[in-house]
Amino acid sequence: MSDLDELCLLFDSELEKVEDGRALDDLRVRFLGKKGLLTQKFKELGALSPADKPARGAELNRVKERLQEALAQRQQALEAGRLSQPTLDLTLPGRRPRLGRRHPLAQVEARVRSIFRSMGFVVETGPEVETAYYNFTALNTPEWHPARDEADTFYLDAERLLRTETSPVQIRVLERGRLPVRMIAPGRVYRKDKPDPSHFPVFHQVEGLYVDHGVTFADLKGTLLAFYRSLFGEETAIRFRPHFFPFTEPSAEVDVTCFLCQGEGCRVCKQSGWLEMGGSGMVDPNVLSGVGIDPEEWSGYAFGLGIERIAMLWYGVDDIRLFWENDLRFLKQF
Amino acid sequence: MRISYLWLKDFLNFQLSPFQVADIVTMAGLEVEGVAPVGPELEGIVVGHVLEARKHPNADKLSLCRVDLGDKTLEVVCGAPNVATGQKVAVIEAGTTLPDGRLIEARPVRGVVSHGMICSGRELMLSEDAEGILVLDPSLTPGALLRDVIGPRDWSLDLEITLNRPDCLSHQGVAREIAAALRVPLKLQKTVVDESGPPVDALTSIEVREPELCPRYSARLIRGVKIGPSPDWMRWRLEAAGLRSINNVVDVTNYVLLEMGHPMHAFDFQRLEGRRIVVRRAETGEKFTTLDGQERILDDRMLLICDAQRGVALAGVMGGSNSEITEETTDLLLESAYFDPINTRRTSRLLGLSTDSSKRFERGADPNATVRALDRAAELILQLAGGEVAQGVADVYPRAIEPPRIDLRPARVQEILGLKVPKVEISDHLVRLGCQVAINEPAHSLTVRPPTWRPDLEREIDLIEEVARLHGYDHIPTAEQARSPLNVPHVAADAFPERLADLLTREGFTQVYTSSLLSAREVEIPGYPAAARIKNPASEDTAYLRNGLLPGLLKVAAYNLHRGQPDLALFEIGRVFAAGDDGLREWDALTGLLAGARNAGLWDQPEQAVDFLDLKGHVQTMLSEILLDKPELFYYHIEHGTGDALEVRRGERSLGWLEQVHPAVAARFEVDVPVFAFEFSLPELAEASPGRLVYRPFSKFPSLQRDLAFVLPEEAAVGPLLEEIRSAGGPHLAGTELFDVYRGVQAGPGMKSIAVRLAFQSPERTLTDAEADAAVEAIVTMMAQAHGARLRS
Repeated sequence: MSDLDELCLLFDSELEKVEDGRALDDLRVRFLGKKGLLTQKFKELGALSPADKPARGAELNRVKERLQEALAQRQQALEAGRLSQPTLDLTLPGRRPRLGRRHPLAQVEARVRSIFRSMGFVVETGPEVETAYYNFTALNTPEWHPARDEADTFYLDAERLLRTETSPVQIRVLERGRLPVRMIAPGRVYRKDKPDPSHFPVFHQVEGLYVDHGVTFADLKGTLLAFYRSLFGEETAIRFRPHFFPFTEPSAEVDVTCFLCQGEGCRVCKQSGWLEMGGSGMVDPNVLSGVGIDPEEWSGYAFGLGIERIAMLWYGVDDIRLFWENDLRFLKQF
Repeated sequence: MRISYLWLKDFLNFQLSPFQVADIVTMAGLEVEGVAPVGPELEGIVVGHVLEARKHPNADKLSLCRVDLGDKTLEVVCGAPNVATGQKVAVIEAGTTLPDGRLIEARPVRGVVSHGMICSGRELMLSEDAEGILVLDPSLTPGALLRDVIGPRDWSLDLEITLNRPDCLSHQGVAREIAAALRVPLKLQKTVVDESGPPVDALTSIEVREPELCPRYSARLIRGVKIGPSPDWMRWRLEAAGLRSINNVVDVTNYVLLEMGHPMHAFDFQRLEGRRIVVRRAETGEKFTTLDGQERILDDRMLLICDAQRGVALAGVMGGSNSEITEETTDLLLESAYFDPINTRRTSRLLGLSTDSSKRFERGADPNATVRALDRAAELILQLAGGEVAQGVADVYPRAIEPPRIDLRPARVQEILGLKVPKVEISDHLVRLGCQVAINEPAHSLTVRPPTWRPDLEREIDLIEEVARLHGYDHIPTAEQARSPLNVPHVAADAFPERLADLLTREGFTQVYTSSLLSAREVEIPGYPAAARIKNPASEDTAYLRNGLLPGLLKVAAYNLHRGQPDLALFEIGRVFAAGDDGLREWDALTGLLAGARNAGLWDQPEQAVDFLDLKGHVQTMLSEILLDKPELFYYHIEHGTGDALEVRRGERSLGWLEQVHPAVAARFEVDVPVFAFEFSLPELAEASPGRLVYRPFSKFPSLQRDLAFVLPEEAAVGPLLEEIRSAGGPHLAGTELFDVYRGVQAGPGMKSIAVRLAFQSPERTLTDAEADAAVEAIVTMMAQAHGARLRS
């Protein structure tokens, strides 16, 4: 075997191992570079006799061509391979950087807020540690009312308590004395309930209030109908049932047609076709005069609704405690 | 309040099912919690067809019947006079039990074996008719289960009565609401009392020493009664209303309570010392044993019904065991009084004793119904227990309680409801509720006197609600337009936290909601302010208001870590509270937590554990979102509680901190992996964030880049160095970016190498290499002189 055959053999075996362009370049330099193995053979030509030179030169050129061709082929193969990637399995799962989720209660509250904002309501907030005055007295709740009991309400001391509803925000906003007022107040409220599938001592409400000249019960009905249609769908109907709340008169409980059975009756609506959504009514004149507003000149409506209630119905969540457990397997679904 | 469907029929003629009645009362404002059948189960009772009824061979009054039960024929002996061939009857086969528990067995009757029984209404506890058998609809199929083909004996409607409607805590009151809704008359009971005894005043006397607390006390005396069980109709009605039968006299007082809503009490007259009643306040510390056998300690604001010597009843709440009705009782003093609502409520609350009686008095009974209730009770007692009623009523009512006079303007009705209701119609609605209404003709108003059983009707607005209710909320129009005031605030109060929450969500953080109520141990986070304690917590686990959001997040982290979910990026926005000498403070906080892998979700990469710089990066991104970024913002290395932390400040204001949670703190929450957290005050962030974004022009000329690597002592802090490089680089240094920190052989022991990429750019022209090189030279010189840093080649 001639020295050039050996060189070719070495080249071929090295070429086999080449997996990328960089290795290919290295190989080219090793054989054809300035100090390359084949280049070296060309340099040795000068030492040969003139008679041997032409044959050896032609042989060297043939080998050089062969190597160049093999390198070019390999280069092509590498480039082609890079494009088609025959080993890539397109059915593998994609890489998905982690994306967070908003809590379902936050999502529901955001929807409620955006609907009311589109109807011209301003979003207000108030303290969660309230005084008995704002939470009860100013809302026309008599001194003897059982809601004031320590069995139902958390107190910090004789006067301060954890608000039991978002209604005290009504008083704080009306107290500013700038009328008309058209606002909603979302927030946390507290009641001394034992946790069970439908109760948790901390929960979320949204309060609504509109006080202006000539506000009527018809306005209340229209506003809540528009709201619940926007929330649950155009086909939603609404029903007002007489009820009693200390701070509204007349008062009403608001029911909407069950969106699960379209009012036909199902397990969730207890076969009634209606879902109870919250309280509402015309602001009691005592509440207005209590903050220095003349009820003969101004009138208004107020309403409340529960975020958990809407979220449970809408998402089909049957245990309120799931919202507070924060199991990622729960949260990631929303 | 449980209402018997059949009982309502005493007051009303109606053809409505119990469910229709439920709908009507619902829309009248009495919430229906449920409608349930009342009566026996009728297990095993079937419909039979009397194929033949012939005379018993050995007994004149008995019949021998062959009864078809569908799948078989039964021979039964029947004693009822009304049995006849062809009837459909209720049959119980031998081996089955009657509703009263009696087992029916096959047995010979005068020589003929009876294999079952044809039942009377009484035997099935369906009616009081014991005379004959129950004859059923002839179209029924033999063999059908009786309970499937006839309805229950009665239905019970479970109503939730709101606090303002004491009048609806009675069948009469609920019936009145239905009558008003249906616009049909209410049939009131006519009572006739046969007063055959001597005058009541000759037998007893009533002395009321506290007319404020007891505005009226009425009593009747009945002597010679016979205590015994009540008849079925009485027992069944009490049962439908949820009460247990005790004896005929006590049952009557309960019956009148349920029927008319007026609480009564029956004393054993012979056990009253001095045979008289004194109404006085208790003495502080006075002991009294109530009917339930409990000894109560009273105070001097509680009203006590006494005889000549001692207390015999806690006014309006519960009677005493010393004067209760027993089987030996023969003479009764029936009390029917009106007690002050507030004082009754106080007594009931202080003693923790809420009764059917106290519930009605504290909401407001009708002071003008005492005598009618007495008459009704006397009538029923005569009927059920016999005896002789003393003549007249002992009635102490020094100042009659009159209904108020309320002016009602029809125009005001329209102003509130948005609906014009004609005067006459308003009047009709109110009259149906028992109001007296006078229409004042030119004054365009009505004068209304509500009945005294409606203490909730005091003001014009109360009457407007009644008009709306009876007119029907459904008939009030629904507005289609809104007038919206244009006092829209500059920035909506909630836009700011929403933006932060959305950004964090995009950054991979999931929002959690945790409870605001924590335990003493949980609020003990180093660096947190003191937490406020709740005076009446539900438990020690929930006795404190959260003073920060970290404890809640650590609890959520532990919960998920223990359930095989190790990669956590969580945040919460919520109210936190601090107790202080100057009162309680509350504000909204934003807290985030990181643990586990930073590249969760990139399944084909080896997991990389999160570290402090991940946390810091998220914080920096978040702050830049609300326009808080360098140079406005400074990070200070602080001791936060037990761990190293950075505090984020703007000027002198602290906005928040970020740290690796100290392992000891994490361990308290059962978190045993490295956890990184930040907490910011939302008001501070909002205050610090500029209200307006201002565009900064950028250069259109090319930039020149230079990469430099400096070798520095390990302990040199890089952050401030970068600041110094920025200031040493001159006006054209537009970018300084750290791209590597290297420790190793080439840097040398105790040293590190930092690599920065500098970008030089001018807003006015293309810079020359010489200009860039000069700036680099200045930086290199500064680094060498000030920090002993050498360039790494």
